[in-house]
Amino acid sequence: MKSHIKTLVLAALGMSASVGQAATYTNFVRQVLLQSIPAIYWDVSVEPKGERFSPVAIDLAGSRYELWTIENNGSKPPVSYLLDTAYVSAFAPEGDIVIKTLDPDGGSIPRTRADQPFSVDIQIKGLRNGLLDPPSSKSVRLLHHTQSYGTTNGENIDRSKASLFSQAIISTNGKTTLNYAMTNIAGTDLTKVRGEERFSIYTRKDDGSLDEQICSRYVKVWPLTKVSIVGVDQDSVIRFKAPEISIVVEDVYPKSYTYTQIYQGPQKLGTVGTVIPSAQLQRNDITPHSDIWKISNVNDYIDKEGTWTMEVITETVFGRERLSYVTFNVDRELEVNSLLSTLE
Amino acid sequence: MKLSFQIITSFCGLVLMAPAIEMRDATTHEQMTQRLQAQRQNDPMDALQVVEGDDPSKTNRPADLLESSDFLCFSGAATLVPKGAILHVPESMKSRVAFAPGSAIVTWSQFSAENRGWIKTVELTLEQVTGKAPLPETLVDSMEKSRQVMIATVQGGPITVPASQIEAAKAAAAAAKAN
Repeated sequence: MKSHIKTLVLAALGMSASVGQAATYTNFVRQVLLQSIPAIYWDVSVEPKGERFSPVAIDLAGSRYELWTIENNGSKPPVSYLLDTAYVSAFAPEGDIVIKTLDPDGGSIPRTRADQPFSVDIQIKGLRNGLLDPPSSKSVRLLHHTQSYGTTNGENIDRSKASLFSQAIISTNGKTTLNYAMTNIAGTDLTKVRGEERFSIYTRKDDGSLDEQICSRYVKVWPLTKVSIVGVDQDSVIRFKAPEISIVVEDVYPKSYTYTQIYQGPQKLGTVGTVIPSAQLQRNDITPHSDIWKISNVNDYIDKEGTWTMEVITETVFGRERLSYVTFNVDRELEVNSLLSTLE
Repeated sequence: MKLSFQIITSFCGLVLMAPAIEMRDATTHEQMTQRLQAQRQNDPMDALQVVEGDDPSKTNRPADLLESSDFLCFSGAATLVPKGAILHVPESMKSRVAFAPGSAIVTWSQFSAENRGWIKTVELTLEQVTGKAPLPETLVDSMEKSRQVMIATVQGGPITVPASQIEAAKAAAAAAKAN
């Protein structure tokens, strides 16, 4: 039997590209022959888009294929990142994981937003149930990890620090689907969590040796956009020149259109107003983005006295949402209250 | 099928049909807290055989690539090979077995092709590497006399040769000399 390393190599393409942009990255595929103690390391020559058969006959102990990339950033010491691993042995079951989200534009690594649903399809093949089959061939472990990015976008994240959220045993071949209504990543403000949820299939060995990863996939989770309208208070009154207003935007979704509009009248969800060109942003990127927009010409949009509403809206693949609004009153009539008297 | 429909509807709406999409207020932390509590009370994993146990992603983490490798570096380019793959380094070339800051990291195949003048590959079989067959009789003599850096390979890929295999080869060579 020969092992096929196509899957691991294909996984390299998107994963290495997502690590960063400024530095250069070189991929290495290392095969670890677990039949020997200590293990023997063998670097397999594979072109970025290539595939090949491993010439090693698969034995009980098997081999672990490791996909690494080395970050080389000028004068800094090189840094290695483990992108993926796959384990192959004579009796190891096969596993595949597909994570589905509502956002089709994540590329090779699916992405979603913290409040949005996602599902995980787990496909297991090759589990045995014969009396003489080794116990390790009869079931696998499914692990679910969560990991917060903190305030970063997950660059150079150390995945060995992920939290084990739950684990289960799968002992039958076929497809299992897990449906989640939203992310499981913890946070004091759930709208602001960012990180990843990882699902992995591991062997379930019974001979005291360590479990090996068969397959692993993760989904990136980005926060909801938060907006503050600064410079005008709710229910305030503007007399003459409107003040400069700042729109503080945190974490617009990687692919989104976020804009500010103004209309006469009290706030009413769904109202179409006048878009303020200096306070809008169209994004098509791989990470969230924060910004501050200044509106110094609010007067240009206010042509009547009365109640006005300014609101910020975002449009994403998840729908159209109002992020913030402020309603204020414009009163420019000059009322002169004076006491007339004559000097006698 | 339902999922695909939702994606297409929402996504097309973003570009072409925005006015037709119903607007809603953004989800709040309180709404998400309620949703998360419900999700945790009915974790999808509960449908499987949930177990407790150690975390193999921590207990069986692969050794770091850089720590389990040696660098070869020359003329602004560098590559790495598994520890134990370098069989011999002449005294005059010891400085080339280290990473020089600023060097570009390239694959083994590219580096070895561009540095044939001072790198000699020793093609072995897996049986020889794993101890199921002896290393070549001439290997120890080559390791003592070569003016090139010698790298063990199997099918062109650099590979660890266990120290026990090298020791066995040296012992066999010494025994042959004695006879």
